[in-house]
Amino acid sequence: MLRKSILILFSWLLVNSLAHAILTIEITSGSEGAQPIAIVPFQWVGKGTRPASLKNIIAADLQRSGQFSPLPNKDLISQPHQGTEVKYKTWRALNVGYLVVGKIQVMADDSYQIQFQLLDVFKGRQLAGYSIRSLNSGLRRTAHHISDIIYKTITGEEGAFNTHISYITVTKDKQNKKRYQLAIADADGYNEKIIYSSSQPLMSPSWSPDGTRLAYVSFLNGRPEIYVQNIFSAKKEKLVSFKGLNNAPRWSPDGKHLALTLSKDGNPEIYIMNINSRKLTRITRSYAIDTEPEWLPGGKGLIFTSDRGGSPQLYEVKLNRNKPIGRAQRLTFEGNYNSRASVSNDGRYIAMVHRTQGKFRIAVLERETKHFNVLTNGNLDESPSFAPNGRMIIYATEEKFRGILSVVSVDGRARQRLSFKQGDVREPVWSPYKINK
Amino acid sequence: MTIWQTIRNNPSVLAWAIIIHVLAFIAIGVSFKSSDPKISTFKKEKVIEAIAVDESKIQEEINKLKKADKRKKRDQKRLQDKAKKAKKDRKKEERKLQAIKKKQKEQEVINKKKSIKENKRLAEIERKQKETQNELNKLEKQQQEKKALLEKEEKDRQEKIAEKKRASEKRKREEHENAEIEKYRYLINNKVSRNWIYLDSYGKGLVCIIEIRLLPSGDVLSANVIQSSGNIAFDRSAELAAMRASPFPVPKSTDLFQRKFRKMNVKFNPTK
Amino acid sequence: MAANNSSTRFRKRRMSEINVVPYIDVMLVLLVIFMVTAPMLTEGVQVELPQTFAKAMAKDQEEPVVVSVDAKGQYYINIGDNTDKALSVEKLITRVAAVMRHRPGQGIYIKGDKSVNYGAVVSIMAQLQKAGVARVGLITQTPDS
Repeated sequence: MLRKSILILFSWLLVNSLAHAILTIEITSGSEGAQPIAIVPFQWVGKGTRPASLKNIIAADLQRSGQFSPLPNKDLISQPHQGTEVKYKTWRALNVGYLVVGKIQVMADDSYQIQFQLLDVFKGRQLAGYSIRSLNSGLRRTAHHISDIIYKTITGEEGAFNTHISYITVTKDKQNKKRYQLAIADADGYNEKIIYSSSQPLMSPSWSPDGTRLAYVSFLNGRPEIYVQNIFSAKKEKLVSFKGLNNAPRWSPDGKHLALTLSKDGNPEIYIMNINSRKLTRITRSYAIDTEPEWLPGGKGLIFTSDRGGSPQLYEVKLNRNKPIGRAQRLTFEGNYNSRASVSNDGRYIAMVHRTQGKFRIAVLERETKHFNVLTNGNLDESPSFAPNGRMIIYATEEKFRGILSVVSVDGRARQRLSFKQGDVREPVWSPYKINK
Repeated sequence: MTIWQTIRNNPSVLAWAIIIHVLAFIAIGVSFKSSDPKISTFKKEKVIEAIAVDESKIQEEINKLKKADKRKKRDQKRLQDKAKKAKKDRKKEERKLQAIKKKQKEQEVINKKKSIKENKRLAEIERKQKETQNELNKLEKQQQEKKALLEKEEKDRQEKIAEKKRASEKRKREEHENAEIEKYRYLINNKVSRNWIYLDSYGKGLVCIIEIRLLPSGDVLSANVIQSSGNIAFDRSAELAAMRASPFPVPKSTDLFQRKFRKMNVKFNPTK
Repeated sequence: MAANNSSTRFRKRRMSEINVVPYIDVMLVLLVIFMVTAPMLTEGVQVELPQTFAKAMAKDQEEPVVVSVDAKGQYYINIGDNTDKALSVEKLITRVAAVMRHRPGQGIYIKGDKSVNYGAVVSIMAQLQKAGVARVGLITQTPDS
């Protein structure tokens, strides 16, 4: 009896709610742009001088991704440090969707306790909140970690701020002799560490997928040979030294193989080498120059640069268990120079160096739609390398006759130059996510 | 278990429980109405605003009204004409009747003259007379029936006209309502579009639906994803657009608001 | 009769346990009532408004930006920190300018005490206009009749 009446009540409610068709409004356009986000400077609780500003690091990270546009300092008309102090009305008036507040507490043992909250301004609620213990030296990394959390919370994708880059710098010593250095640094260019230094040229660093080793080309013996070095122990080993050129190593996604360019049989061809057995598999056979191999996700193929069509263009060869299937297919048809491919983690984009009006720039080809987009506007932009989340590309460019590094978002909306104090910086490569220390 | 047993042992408990709940919800409902925070801030304080009104529009409005008035008058006249015709018909009938009556009287005079001579045929005349009388009665009856029929027809016609009027009014109301809905649909679309910030690089072919609940003032009470695009950044940008567009432009009619705008869906579909 | 007695005893024994369900029920209702009434308690600066009959202005922002001028001629604004403290004109304008950068075309409301100097209101209006405010609304009160 009771059950029946409840049933009747519910069905009545249901009918009532369905009585009128729900109005649906369709929005087909908006404005293209990055999401505004307000990051309030973190409160400093305790004695001592303030180290690097977490706020600035986080803001620069988010800006670099192209997905966010941090509010300029002059618009931060309120400075709360925790969620309970936030007056959402103020931030709504500023039309900003997200707000980051936090504080740094100095602990007795010279470490910091960092609290931060990410707030949804219009819904007036917390989206993420963490308390992180950080050493003095690890403050920048903690800031990158916070950027990653913010990025992941809002976009659902992994951020790549707490990763590393490797690159080659060229400096001059006291005798005015050139020194070539292999360096690694945080993804924003800070905390640079030189892991190998040589008087002979260094080239083409490549990360192992576990982020513990780098393969690179050294001219230590007067010709290019490939070395592998552990980035923590600095232990290095000569891996490949055939006659002729030994160039452009690229670590396979499974970490067991290297794709590389060898000229031992005459002209440069692409090979795959098993690192344990040193067994070689030849991938290309042409009279033209084939070089700069790049792996597709899952090791399903290689993309390389070849001038077999008369001008340097990108080609793709499919692989099955590291054996080539069929003929290489040409991928690029824009202009008469496309080289040095870098593939995003999901295989959606291929970044490359593209020549247009005599200038070398970074361009991106979206594979599915064949949409081709030139992202940069320098004169000599080179060596693009995707961040592990496929949203940003680091590349080398020239400023006042000096090589520097810049990061561009995959849609070209945000470009940020990384600051380096000295030297000529070139050939950056972005590390994978995992870098175990 | 204890509740069920209590209820089974003493059914009046259930009744009391329902009454108390109903009272509580009425109380909540009442306080909802009086406590809309966004309204209360501006309940007494009003803001000066000057409004310019286009005079030509007013004139247009007046002309429209005048036209409508004329049409109404024309309709009335047509009705009146019809009624007049009916009256004329009735008068004709009556005239016929009078003629018959006159004839009868003449017959009586003749009868009287002949009464002495024709005593014998008196009875017959009387019978004839009766017959005429009967006929007369019949005629009168017929006439009455005719009259009733006519009246009934007239009534039916009136009713039909009224019904038609009601239907057209209803249609007009619906048309007006639809126009109103379209207008606010457009305004809302406009405002949400202006507040939507997204990136093409979120992905291709993303579509999501946000369910929105509004206060009568148009302020957004909630905006939640009910059909995700599968891309969190896209869903969030859509949700944010709806929240940012608060307050929504909504019709003043509370009835229309309750039926159509209190709860609505906004579909974000940049692929179109 | 005996059956009735036993059932009464049975019920009594049951009733001696604490039944939390009604508690939760009542608490939920109270919670709803508090949730509904809490936003009514809005804060603001005490300003006695001049009384006029004026038409209501259409509001297009969820929470309007209101600049208040109290009887002493001091300025307040309802966004940013310390909304209950008087502000210098410069600080007030920086806040308004920040809003105008992110919500261009946004109207700003002025709430002036009826005893305040006319000049104080006009000067703040001029300052607002310089900060990019296109629409300024004056808040008044309908006279009690």
